[in-house]
Order: sequence, then C-alpha cells, then structure tokens
Amino acid sequence: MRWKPSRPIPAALLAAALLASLLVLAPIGWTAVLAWGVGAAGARMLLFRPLVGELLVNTLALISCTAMVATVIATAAAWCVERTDLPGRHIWAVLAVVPLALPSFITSFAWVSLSPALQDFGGALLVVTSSYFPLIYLPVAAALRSMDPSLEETARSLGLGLWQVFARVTLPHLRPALLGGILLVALNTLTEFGAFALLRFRTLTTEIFAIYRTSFDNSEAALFGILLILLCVLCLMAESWSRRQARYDRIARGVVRPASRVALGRLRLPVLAGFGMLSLVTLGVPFGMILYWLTQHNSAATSVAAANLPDVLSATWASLRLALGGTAVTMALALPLGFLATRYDGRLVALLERTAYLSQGMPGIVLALAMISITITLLRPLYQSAFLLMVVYAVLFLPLALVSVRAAFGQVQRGLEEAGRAAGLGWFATVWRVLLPLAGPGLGAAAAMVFVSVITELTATLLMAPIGTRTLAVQVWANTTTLAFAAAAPYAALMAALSLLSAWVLARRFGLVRGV
Amino acid sequence: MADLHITGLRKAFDNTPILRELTLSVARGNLVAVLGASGSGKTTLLRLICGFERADAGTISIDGAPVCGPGLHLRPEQRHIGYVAQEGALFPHLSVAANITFGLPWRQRRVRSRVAELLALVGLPEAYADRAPYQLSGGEQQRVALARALAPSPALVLLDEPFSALDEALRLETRQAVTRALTKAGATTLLVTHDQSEALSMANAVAALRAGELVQVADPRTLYQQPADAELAKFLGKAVMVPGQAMGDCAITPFGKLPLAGSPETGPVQILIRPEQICLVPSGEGYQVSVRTVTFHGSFCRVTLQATENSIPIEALVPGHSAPILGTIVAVRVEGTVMAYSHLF
Repeated sequence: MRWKPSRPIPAALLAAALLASLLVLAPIGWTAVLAWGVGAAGARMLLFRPLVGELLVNTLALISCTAMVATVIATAAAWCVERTDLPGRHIWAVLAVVPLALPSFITSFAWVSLSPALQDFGGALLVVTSSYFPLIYLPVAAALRSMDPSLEETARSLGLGLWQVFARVTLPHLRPALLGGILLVALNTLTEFGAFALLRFRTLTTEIFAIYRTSFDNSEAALFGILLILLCVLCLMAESWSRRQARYDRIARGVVRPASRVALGRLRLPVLAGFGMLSLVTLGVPFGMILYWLTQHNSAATSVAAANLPDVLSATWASLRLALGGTAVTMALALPLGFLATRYDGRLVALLERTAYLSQGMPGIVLALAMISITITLLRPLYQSAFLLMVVYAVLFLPLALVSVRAAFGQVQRGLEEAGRAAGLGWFATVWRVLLPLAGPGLGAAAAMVFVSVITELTATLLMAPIGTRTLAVQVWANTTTLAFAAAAPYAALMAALSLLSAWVLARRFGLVRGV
Repeated sequence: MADLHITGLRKAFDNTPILRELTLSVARGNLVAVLGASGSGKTTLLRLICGFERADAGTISIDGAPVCGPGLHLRPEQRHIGYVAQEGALFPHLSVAANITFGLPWRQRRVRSRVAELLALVGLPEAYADRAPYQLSGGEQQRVALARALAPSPALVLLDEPFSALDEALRLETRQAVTRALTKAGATTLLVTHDQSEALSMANAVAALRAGELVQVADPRTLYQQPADAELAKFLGKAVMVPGQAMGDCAITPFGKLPLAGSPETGPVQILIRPEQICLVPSGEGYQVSVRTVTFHGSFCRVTLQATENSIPIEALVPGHSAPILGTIVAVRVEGTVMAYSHLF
C-alpha cells in the first residue's frame, strides 16, 4: 500500500483525524515516559516482587478460569438455542445477551450485598463470568447460524454420531468465534476495575488505583499501567489474528438454509432447568438484590447513609449531562475518522484508523491517570473540568463508535456521492444532503451505544468528575464501598433501568440482538 | 454396492404433503436420476433416504435391509450412504486429504495411498491432497466431495443437485468426471436434479417427480420421446403441439401422416413433435410454411414457422449452416416417430 492516498484528503478532515489519533496516543506516550523515569533498576525492583507476581497470577488465573467456564456455558447455551427444539428459545436467546447491558460493577454490588463471603477469587469469577459470557455466546451463536448444515449432515452420512460430529466438524467451525470471544473476555477482565474493587479482588487495575490514592506516585502507577497496556495489546493482536483466520473458513456460497433441530426428548427438562439457573444467576440475583435493597428501610442497611430524592435527581442529571456531552465529543472524533477510513485509501489512513482502535488496549484507569497527569502539568485550567472527562470518554469509546460509524458510511455507495457531485453539489453539500441522510440510522445507533457506555462508565468518572459532581455510578460506588447497600440501591436501579432501556431501544430499532 | 427399494413413502410438512405414496427401485450398480422442478419433493426424498428427516409412512430398504419403516428409523450414520451435498460441503478446516478420509476409521485415515487412489478415481492429480478446500474451483470441490463419499465404500451414493452451482463449461466437465468415477466404482447412485439434460445424459433411468408423485420412470430415451403426458413433455424440453387424427399406429397431421410411438390411439389427438424433428427440405415437396423469425446460435438455429397468417407458430431447431432466410417460404418434413395424447389440456 502507498502512503499517499489516490485522492487528496481535505486538510480539515485530516486535521480532525490527526487530533483523534493524538488524543489516543498522548496518554499512552505520557504513561510510557513516566514509566521510563523509573529507570531500569527501579523497574526491576518494582516489578520483581511477590506483590506483582500475586497480581499477575490473580489476573491470569481469573482470565483462564473465566474463559473456561464462560466457553462451556456460552457454547452449550448457543448450541441449545440454535440447534435444538428447546421451548422458548427466542426468549432464552435474548436473556443470554441481556447481562452484557448490565454494568459489571452493578452485578458486583448485588453479589457483595448478598453475601460478604462472595469476595476475592470466587466472587470475581462469578461476576466476571456472568457479565461477560455473552461476549462468547454472541459470536458462537452467529457462527452456528451461518454454518452450512450440510457439513454436519455429510459427517452424519459418513458414519459419525452426534458427539463425534460436534467434536470433528462443529467445534472446529466454532474455533475462530470462540477464540475471538475468549480474547474479548480476557481484554474486559484485564481492564475491569469497579467490579473487582467492590469484591476486594486485587488485580493490576485495583493496584494502580491504590497506588494513586495512597502515594500519588505517578511513575510506579505508570509502570503498572504500561504492563497492563502491553497485556491488552497482546489480546487485541491475537483477536485480530483470529479474525483473519476465520476468513478462510467459509467456502460455501449462496444462502444458508436453516439447520434441522435436534429433538431434546427426555433432556428437555434438565436443559430448561439449566437455562433457568443461568438466567437466575446472571439476571435474577442482580435484579433481585436491587429490588430487595430498594424495599429495605435505610436502617436495615449496614450503614446510616440514606438516599433522598434530591440526591437521586441531581445524580441522574449529572449522569445524563456528562453522557450527552461525552457522546457528542466521541461522535465528533469518530465521524471524520470513519469518513476518512471508508472514503480514502493509503497507508496513512490505515494507520490513523488503527491508532484509534489502539485505545481499546488502554484500561480506563490508566487513561484517566495519564490525562490527570497531563492536565496538571501542561493544561492546568482543564484539570477537574467536565470537558476533560468528556474527552476521556471520547478516547475510551472511540473504537466502539468507529466500528458503527464505519459500517454506516460503508453502506452508502460511493456512486451516490459522485452522483451528488455530478448534480452540482459541493463537497460539504454532498455530505450534508446525501451521505448523512443515508447513513443517519447507523450513526444514530453508534451514538446510542456510546451513550449507554458512557452512562455506565465508572472508573474515569470516579477519578475525574469535577468536585461536587456525583453521578449515578459514583453514588453506587461510594455507598457500596461503605456497605450502605440500601442507599446504593436507588442509584443502581436507575442505572440498570437506563442501560436496559437503551439496550432494548437499540435492539428494537436496529436489530442488534437478533432472535433465532 | 447394493440396490435400493422404496415403497409407499409419505412425508408432509405442516400438513402440506410433500411426498405421496412414492415407490421406486434402483437396481445394483445403476444410476437413477430423480428429475423434478423445485418444490416437487425431490430433496425431501433424498433427505428421507439419508435419514436426515423421518418419513410419515412407507419403507426404505438398502440391499434388502430396511433402514426406515413402521417403528424403524436408522440414524444417518448407520445407513452407509455416501452423500454429496449441493455445494460439496467440504470441511473448510481440513485439507483435501483429510476431507477424503474423514469417514474412515482412525487408523486408515493416515494411509496416503488410499487418498491418491480416490483422487485418481475422480480424476484429480495427487498433488491436490494437501490443498485447502478454498483453493479449489467449484467443480474440483464437487469431485473431492464425491471421493469423500466413496471412500468408506458406501452401499449407496446420493447426489443432491451436485452441479447446479457450477457454470456451464465446468458443469459438463465435472458431470463427465463424476459419471466416470461412479461407473468405475460400480456405485448404485441416486441423483437428484432439476436439470433435464443432466438427468438424461447421466442416468440409466430417470424418475420424473411432480408434486410428490412419480409421473414416469423410464430410460432417458423413452422418457424424452414418449413422455407420459403433455406437461412432462414440455418439462423435458421444447415441444411443438399440433392437432391430429390418430389411426392406430399412425396419425394424420398438418405435416402429413406420421408414425406414432407408444400405444396405438384412435380419434382426435394432440401430437407432440420435438423442434429438432422438424427438418427443412430444399425441394418443394412437404408442408409449406413461411419463416417468421430466425435466431442464430452458431451451431444451431431456432426458427419459428407459420403456415398461414392465423395458424399456430411452430418452433424448429435446424443446424446453423442451413439457417433459412427470414420471410421466405420453405418446405418442412417431420423425422422419426411422434407421441399422441388423446386427452385435451
């Protein structure tokens, strides 16, 4: 690929895209420079100690256990929904995805408030698995749906039983989807902060937070941050590699006919019971606990802090305001980048796009600390401002927005724009009158998804919210850490309701959660 | 290799009958084509034989052993059937060699000579063994799929529209290679297709299926020349229908007195003539018609002819080199025997 695009890029567009890349790269670079300041000897001293070993073992053990449990649950659930005559499978298909819409620190709050025994590794495994198994379920179910049923039928005719067919044909077909899903789970586990902090489970993220709170030692936190970024980037690289592998795995052309379903027979009740259990654990307990604490009088909770209506309203208002602003800034960064990526070629464009996706590898806590440090040093007036927090949201959710924006722009054929130009419209008029109306719904979906993500974001909000601004997430956090579960409940209920509602609207409007 | 017997087979989906009381036999080593338009039930028939679906009634037996009957449903893996799906359905994660040996017991899967043998059987070079399926053309994929189906020496081979996804040139070549391999293997084969020329050129016998019922089972020549009814005649190829008067083994037609194929008829009939049976004769003798349209295809030429302004236009297929000139008057003669249908339609 050549560096120079075949058509010249308008200067304003290029500048906007460069700004987005700069915003992604600056915190990474800053963290790297701070970490570099530790020096080789210092780094060795800080990294090679029992604590770091324990953190790494904790993190890696949790990731592998979660991956194993979630893989088994997600694959079994997806297979039953897509390939058997399971009663009510449309409902189960939706219920298997809903946990994704529930912020994991809300799930964490629910379990912690159910029993303090559910802390540390067991609790973390439970919360992470039930929050993130949909990340494996979704691609596996999609892979099962897109699989040509004659592959399995041919294997049957060649003398293989049901189990052998699953092991020798179905599973290899699911491998890329499984691998991709597992790596996403790993990435999310690496960057998760709120859920682990509430569970008192120590990982790299919670340790970085602890260092920041106790010592303000930037360089040590930065060193752990770089370690975390490296692990995340490794996951991202493996994920993109697994996606490239999957491309060769389809040779059949034409429309896929739906596979015939296996009759469950006597297994029907046990399988139904399994799905019931799954939903009970992933959804029933979180919602049940929120409802339970809502109905408890404040004195029944283990602390005296009480929630009152003005506080709830002001927290809701703060959340909405920040989320709207954050979405606006995110879209302002994603739109030019998405347009550039779909309409221009060359290595520069590819590099700019890839840079934006790099922010997936930056945990919220590392990003927030880097931005705080940058503003304190260089841009003092921005420190503790709502705008800075919105920019951080934008960097965090730029990859999420970019995927959808790119898809929305990609659906509009270039010929239509050329037709607009031929009809005498200028560049800007073409974008305004041809591109935006056509890509509108897709862009709306992108904005809505960013909005949901911002409103459920905890880490950056916790560290960077302007003094006196207490959002819903911050309130849940503050009350749960002081064991005031009843006080946290209204905020948790509002957050759960908001995120479920937005997810539902998104699904209805754009068919993101397609049934069977 | 074995023979296949199907009796009284019935299947309905959501109370819509797909197959009604179907009875069919395939003798050992033969290739029978089930020919039908889409929706005729041919794919359902094949899936019932494979055991992918359960029959509502009727029996299927392979080599005398029942695989499907009242209270009996052998699972697909117990039936020893070689099945070739519409687009080959090669396992994308396995090499050609691993695909071919997929159905063999574990120990035999590593025997390279068997792979080479099977590749040779379907006319592919041995070097293909290590390729991945996506590196093969559609026709090559179909041949590998056939080799895979033949590898465990199945009792019966079933082909589900195996050439429909291929383009014209590849289809002919693949068809020949497949027929050769099946003959060499001595396989008893059932081929399901909607393509008339495929059924007629490949099969020993063709079973014409319509709305879940067999209309006629016959060798390709008989089927084409003496179709059971006019509808089948039109499905099998272009048909010219003219009125006539049957008199036993011949009929009086606008083209003169023509010999009848099939059972003798008397009285008013519709006469089936294939366009290629109508020949232009240079001298003036014969039925006089004027040339209305001429569509030149190279090796042959389609012409429509009309006796008078108001008579029915007749289509004829003539060799390309003797294409008539538009608007001229020519004389025609009908070669061979024709079919007469007494019932009107």
